[in-house]
Amino acid sequence: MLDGFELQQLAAHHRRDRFNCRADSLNAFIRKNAKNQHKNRTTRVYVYASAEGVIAAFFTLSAHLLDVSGLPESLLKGRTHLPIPATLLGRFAVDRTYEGQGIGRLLLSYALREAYRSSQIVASAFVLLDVAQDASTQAVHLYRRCGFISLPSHPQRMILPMDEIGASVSAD
Amino acid sequence: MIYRTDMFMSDPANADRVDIRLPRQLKERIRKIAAQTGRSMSDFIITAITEKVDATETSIERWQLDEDDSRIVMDLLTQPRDNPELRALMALTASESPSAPATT
Repeated sequence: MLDGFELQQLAAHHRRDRFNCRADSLNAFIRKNAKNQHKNRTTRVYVYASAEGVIAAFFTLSAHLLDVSGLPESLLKGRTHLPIPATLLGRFAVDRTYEGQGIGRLLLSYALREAYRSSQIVASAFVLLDVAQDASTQAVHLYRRCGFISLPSHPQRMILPMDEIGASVSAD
Repeated sequence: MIYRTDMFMSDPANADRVDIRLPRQLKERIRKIAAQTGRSMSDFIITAITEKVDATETSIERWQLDEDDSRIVMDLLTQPRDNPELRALMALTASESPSAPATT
């Protein structure tokens, strides 16, 4: 945890232009697209930032649906073919300056906690995670260790049941 | 990810060609702006397209799963796993209050 930094939703005073992680696509997102997407409610952008607006890390959450209409009736296990609501952890990045301080782990904990909280108000059965093509191997290892698994059709996307997060939160 | 032509030109097996027609004026604009930024036209076009693809992929709100994916999803829903690593992760923020609401 960094002194003076806390989780906040993106606001005007955050210095998005200074953010610099190893993934060019995520730098481009926070600098160019994050403000509008947050404002338009396409996604919620969370930043781990100081009072002065320095962003050490950020992640995004938005609503998603898993379409299981391709599943045979016999495998539905009492469910319907209705889409399964999910929460997309679409982007996740730590600034180079703050690497190696456990910020990635802390931020993932925050992200899953926010996703779980919101799922208690608006249903969501999974957290999905998009691994940036230029994401670090450490990040992918962290996701795997925490139980995220890749699905065969889309290896860049990983999935974790909300119930598992709930069980881990209630064990606090 | 920002692709550069040197990433795959050395490995032709990993690169596909796309033939598209561009309005002549647009091609000229791309040529000029690429030259001004010290990059090849290919680099410039690939970078711009990649940003657009990344943004659009993430904005698609529904994910169609095939049968194999669906089986895994249903198994995850019905067969709870013990996950000590996740418990340790969530303990990091056990005392945290919810983030402040959006101000924008």
